[in-house]
Amino acid sequence: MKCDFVKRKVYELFNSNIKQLDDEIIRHIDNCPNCNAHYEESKIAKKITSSLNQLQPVLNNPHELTNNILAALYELEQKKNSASIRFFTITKRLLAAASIFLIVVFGYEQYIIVEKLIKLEQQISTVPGIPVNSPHYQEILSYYPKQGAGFIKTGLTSSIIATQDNDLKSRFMIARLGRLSSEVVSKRLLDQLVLLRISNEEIDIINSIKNE
Amino acid sequence: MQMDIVNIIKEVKSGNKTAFKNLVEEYQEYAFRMAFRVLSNEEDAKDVVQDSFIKIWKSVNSFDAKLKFTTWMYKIVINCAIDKLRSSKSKNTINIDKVSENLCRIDRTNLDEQIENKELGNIITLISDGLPEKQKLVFVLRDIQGLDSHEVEKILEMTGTSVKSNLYNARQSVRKKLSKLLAYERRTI
Repeated sequence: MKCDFVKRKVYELFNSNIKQLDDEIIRHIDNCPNCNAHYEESKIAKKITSSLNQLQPVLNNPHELTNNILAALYELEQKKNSASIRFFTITKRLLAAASIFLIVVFGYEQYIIVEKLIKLEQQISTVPGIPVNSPHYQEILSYYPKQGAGFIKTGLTSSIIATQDNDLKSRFMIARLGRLSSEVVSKRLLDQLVLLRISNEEIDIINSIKNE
Repeated sequence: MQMDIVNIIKEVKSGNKTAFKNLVEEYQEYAFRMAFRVLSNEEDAKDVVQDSFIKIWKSVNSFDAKLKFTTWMYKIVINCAIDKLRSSKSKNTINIDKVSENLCRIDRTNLDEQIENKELGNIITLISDGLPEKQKLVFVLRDIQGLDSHEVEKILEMTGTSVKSNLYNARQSVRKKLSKLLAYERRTI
């Protein structure tokens, strides 16, 4: 009989449901010093681990442990609450800062737009053939049919900013800027096309008209 | 106090702190025994019990009522104990003479008297010292804590085969270790 087989059976005896060993295995254990030592060691190990299973560690001061757990829980809840409060405070401050930032940015934007429009209008007013009250002003004002457009349809930006509320002014300025810019560009293109088609004689005629 | 665990858990889920206190009072000793047997140290075991119950409070909504509460609790305790075991660098100095003496007492007689936590911790430390983590956990849960194999599988999330092979290897190591320790005691008598 092989020792490995015997040792496996000894393991099963002490750790599984085997009630007893076969006679043949017992005889082998009696006659084999190695298997005999293995059997004795296994028996002792089983006894000691079973005893350790019976020996219960004692929880000293259980009330103290309960109180510590509840105190830790209280601390956790406090931290959670203060974290929520901190989160809302930070969010509130961030929103306030963002609002101020947006007001400054849009205020500045509006200021820049108004400035550019005034300059643009001043430049355009020097160009012959673009009257201040040309039809494009009326088209722009068609965005705001209920805003009393009649008053501002011929007004320049410089006069509009002094009389209209901010919302109307902002939207009106943007629309007007776009309109005036496209007007200038289209006029320049038209001029170039006209120049390409006219003859030298015609140029002389144009120059003579300009001189007059 | 006999508690209806289902109702207690229901109350704890709704944030009832009195119910949680009852839960702690009823189960902290079970948790402590488990943690102590893994860590072999009273203070570390208490820390682990505290951390475990805080985790129980936080994650009670994920508790599956089909599972035994103690199985779920042991799983949390074991995970906390593993963290503690891994983070703990210091090792207690163990008096081998004292441990061997206690082992001989256990071997010679049926030891039914209580021994001090420290001595019990030293015995467990010495006989499970050097075991790989999985083997140690399986051995402690199965042989020292006395849980059945299915519960060990659930707590450690291991297959039955893995539990069996780890347990077999752990028992062989413990057998050899005990044999050496007892031989040491015989030589010193």
